[in-house]
Amino acid sequence: MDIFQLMRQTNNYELTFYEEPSVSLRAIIAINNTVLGPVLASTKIFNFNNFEKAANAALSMAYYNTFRSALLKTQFGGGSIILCGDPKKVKNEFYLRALGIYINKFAGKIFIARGSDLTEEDIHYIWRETDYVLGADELYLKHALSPAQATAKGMIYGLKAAVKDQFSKDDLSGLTFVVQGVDNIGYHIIEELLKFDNVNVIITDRIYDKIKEIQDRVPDVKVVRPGEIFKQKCDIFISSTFDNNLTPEQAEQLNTKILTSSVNNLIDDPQTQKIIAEKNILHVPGYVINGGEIILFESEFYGSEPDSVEQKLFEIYNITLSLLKTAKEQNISVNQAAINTAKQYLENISAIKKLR
Amino acid sequence: MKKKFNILAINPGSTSTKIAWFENEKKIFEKNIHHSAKSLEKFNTIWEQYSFRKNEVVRTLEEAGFDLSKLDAVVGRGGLIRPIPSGVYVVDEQMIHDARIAYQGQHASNLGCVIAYSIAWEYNIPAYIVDPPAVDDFEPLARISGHAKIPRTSLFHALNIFATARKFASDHKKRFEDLNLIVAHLGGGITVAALKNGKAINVNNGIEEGPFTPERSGNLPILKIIDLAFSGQYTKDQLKKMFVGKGGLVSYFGTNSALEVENMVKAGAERYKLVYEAMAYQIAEEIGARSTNLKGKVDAIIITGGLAHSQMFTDWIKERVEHIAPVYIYPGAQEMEALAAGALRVLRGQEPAKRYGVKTPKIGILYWDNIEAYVKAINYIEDYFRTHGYIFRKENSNLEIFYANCEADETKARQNLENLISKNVDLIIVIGSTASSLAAQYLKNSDIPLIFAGLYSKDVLSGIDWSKEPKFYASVYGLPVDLQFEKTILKLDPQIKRIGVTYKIGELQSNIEHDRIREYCSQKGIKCLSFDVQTHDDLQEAAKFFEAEDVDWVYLGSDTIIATATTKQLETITKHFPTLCALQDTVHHGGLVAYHVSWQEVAELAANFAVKILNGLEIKTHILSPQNHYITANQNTAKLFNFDFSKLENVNFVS
Repeated sequence: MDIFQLMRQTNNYELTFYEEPSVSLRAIIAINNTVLGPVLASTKIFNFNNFEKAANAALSMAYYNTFRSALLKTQFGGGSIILCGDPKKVKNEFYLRALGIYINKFAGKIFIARGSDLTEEDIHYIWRETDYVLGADELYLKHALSPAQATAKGMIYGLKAAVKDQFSKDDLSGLTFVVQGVDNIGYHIIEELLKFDNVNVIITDRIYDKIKEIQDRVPDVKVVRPGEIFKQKCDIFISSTFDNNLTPEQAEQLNTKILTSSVNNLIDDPQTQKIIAEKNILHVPGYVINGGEIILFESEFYGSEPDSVEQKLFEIYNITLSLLKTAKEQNISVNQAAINTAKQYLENISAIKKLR
Repeated sequence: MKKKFNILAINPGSTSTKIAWFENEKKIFEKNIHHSAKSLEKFNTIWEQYSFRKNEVVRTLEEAGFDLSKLDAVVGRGGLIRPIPSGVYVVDEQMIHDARIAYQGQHASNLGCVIAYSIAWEYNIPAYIVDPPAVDDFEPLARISGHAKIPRTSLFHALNIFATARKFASDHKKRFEDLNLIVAHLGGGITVAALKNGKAINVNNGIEEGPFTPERSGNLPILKIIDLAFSGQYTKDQLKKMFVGKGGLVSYFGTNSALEVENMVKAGAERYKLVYEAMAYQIAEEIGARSTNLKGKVDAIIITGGLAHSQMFTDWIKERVEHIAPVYIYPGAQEMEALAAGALRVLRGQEPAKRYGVKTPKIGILYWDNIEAYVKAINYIEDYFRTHGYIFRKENSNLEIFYANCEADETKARQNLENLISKNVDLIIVIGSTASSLAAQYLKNSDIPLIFAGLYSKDVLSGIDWSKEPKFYASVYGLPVDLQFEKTILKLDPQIKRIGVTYKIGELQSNIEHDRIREYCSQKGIKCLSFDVQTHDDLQEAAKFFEAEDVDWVYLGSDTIIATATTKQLETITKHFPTLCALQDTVHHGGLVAYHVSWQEVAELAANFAVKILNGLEIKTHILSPQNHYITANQNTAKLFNFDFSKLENVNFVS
């Protein structure tokens, strides 16, 4: 793989590899765009088979994070941090503090934040070594929202827009949802979905413990084996797994009207895109609706009240609706409409900044 | 070589979780993971202990160097779920739900099924429970308590009681199901079961009935309990704890250790002897009661469990009950072995796993018409089920089969499929290519597993992408044309120049077969002359055509005309031309020779898919064809032609 070519393809200008063998830390940081502000890096810990795949994931995440920030008009740039290893095994105080030391080297160009793979306790260890951390306890007390909850809430607004577009309905009641992967964000998505009347929720995960946690609280959810999930008949299919993009074979099995994901982009190959289009499934890319956590972190970084966070989360509904309209009018995919819109915004901001 | 199965057995107790790893019957690792009172006190309910205990199980196994991905099944001790007949059960969502809500009460064993399920889920292998405490084989008379509002329920040490009874039967070279036994399990709880033909027709409820135990009170004078309950001194929970947990020996001496009490007896403490012997006295009383359940026809009395280690204690029981039947002592509990043995019986196909909450599994068998081969296939499938422990069309059935004949009619086939769906069948076995093709299209988006028995080839199901149909399975009979020719015609008649072929336009498998023959013959320089047979009468026309074309051989295909033709109808061809037959049956009807698979093996492969699905076992390969190939020749027909059959390998001659 030509790494520079891949960087060019994804508009990333900086890709850094870092290893600290004494604590088994292997990190990859991709910086895509800082026009809007410092990078708020999504962090993922994943047991990658090879570093090529990990670098690829870092570049792709950073690429879409830039668009996500731009669509929400936040003051954060796009980047990503990939930590290689089994999240259950690699993390400990020394590992996390070493990561903090590494983040410090970027001198504020990049911020690390609490997320699905970094818990409150993890963030506290990182904090001992660097100030470039977002996700303070106070944040949750103030807004009564964790980053995963904010993401889930934002996604629900996005889904409402998609449902409005597809079913001319104002809420999600009476619909059937598939949630593939119930880790953290998936869990909170289900929590939000069950606030609507008569929704049917079908779930799966490779790890049974997560399913059990949900079933203990909501025995009515239907559970299926991971291999059976794509065939489930539903109105909305939500993928909330990080490890794999949708394959053409899985796309063929889908029996849904709307498809989305908590990861930035579920579909990365043309054949899968073609199948989704042929099946007339509305694909709302994850990065269009999964920006709830950035809204929350922005409120911590720049300061804002809970009302404003709620208002910005609701804005995801309007953004999504507008993109769906554009896509229809221009006869392009929602993904293309989102990229065009985000790029235009970045160009405008970039032009203004040159005035300084 | 006998396949080696790796089985993990999990048995959660009140303060420990016992685990064992088995390679078939051999226990290669066992550990009793103790949980301190402190580690458990933070949980409000037993169910909340799930993650803690599961992590301990996984950590212990990993530290001991076991690779969980090597497991074939996980088996847990079932809990106080809803009453079910004895046996091995596939863990499913309904069972997990009932364990979660503690259907018949809180007990550590409620975690057995969910921990097993969780580990099995991650490795995509089956999870089972075996003879949970909730086993209920009560005869109707046993359910009557004496008050209309209080039915009796069965709750006992089913796992150890059944395992010990099985061991006794095996030790005495008898069938467990042929014996009448009384088995007393003596542990922290004590239950005494009457086993008649392998069923526990009556047993004291281990929580609230029977003799007192080291920590439970068993039967108590009822009016005095009511007085206590309304004395205002106790809450409901306190009273429950007083009788279950702090009753029995604990209430008299403050200890639940029978060993401690026995040591006091040996030291001459009279009061200890009185109470301890009274416990034996009540157990003997219970055994006596069970003998009446069996009308005195008792083959043996078996005493098992931890307390059975005490000779003093068992002697007290023995002297009061040995007039009923011989008494055998099996000290200790063999629960881990019993769990693994249950799982192993299912994995080896010796016993069907039962479905929790599903009274009897249902299957549909759909076939195109009353064709001899299809009827044979049904018989082979039924035999396979029988040899794997399934009983059907009988009073004690554990499998319901719905038979659906399409009568060679597409509309009828669709009606049959609708009908089978409405019966909520667990799977459908479809026999023959024509019915398979229809069923595949009709049930493409259904969740019902479809097993195509005797498919010519997977191409018959046109438009079906097998990689996208995880619920489709097929046993295939069609062998490659090149093999059929090379193993027969090309050895008997290497100079063959012209071959006639019968086929039936409109039957997909026949057309595929026909195309393959044409393609092969064209490569080999053999001229292929085809004749479409739509009715049996067409066979005469076909013979005339082949005569006129001066063919050397005729290939009789697997279409429904040839498959249903009689010897007489085929004679116009088989007596005039040497014939290579697609089907073995055609040779029986006068065809010369066939290179084929066994129809029985094809049917059995399909039945094997079905048994695996019903038992929740993983199926890795969805399309299978029998490994063995055979050559069958008709002895009488062979006399009509001058071929040297010694050139063929292992010919099986039929007449």
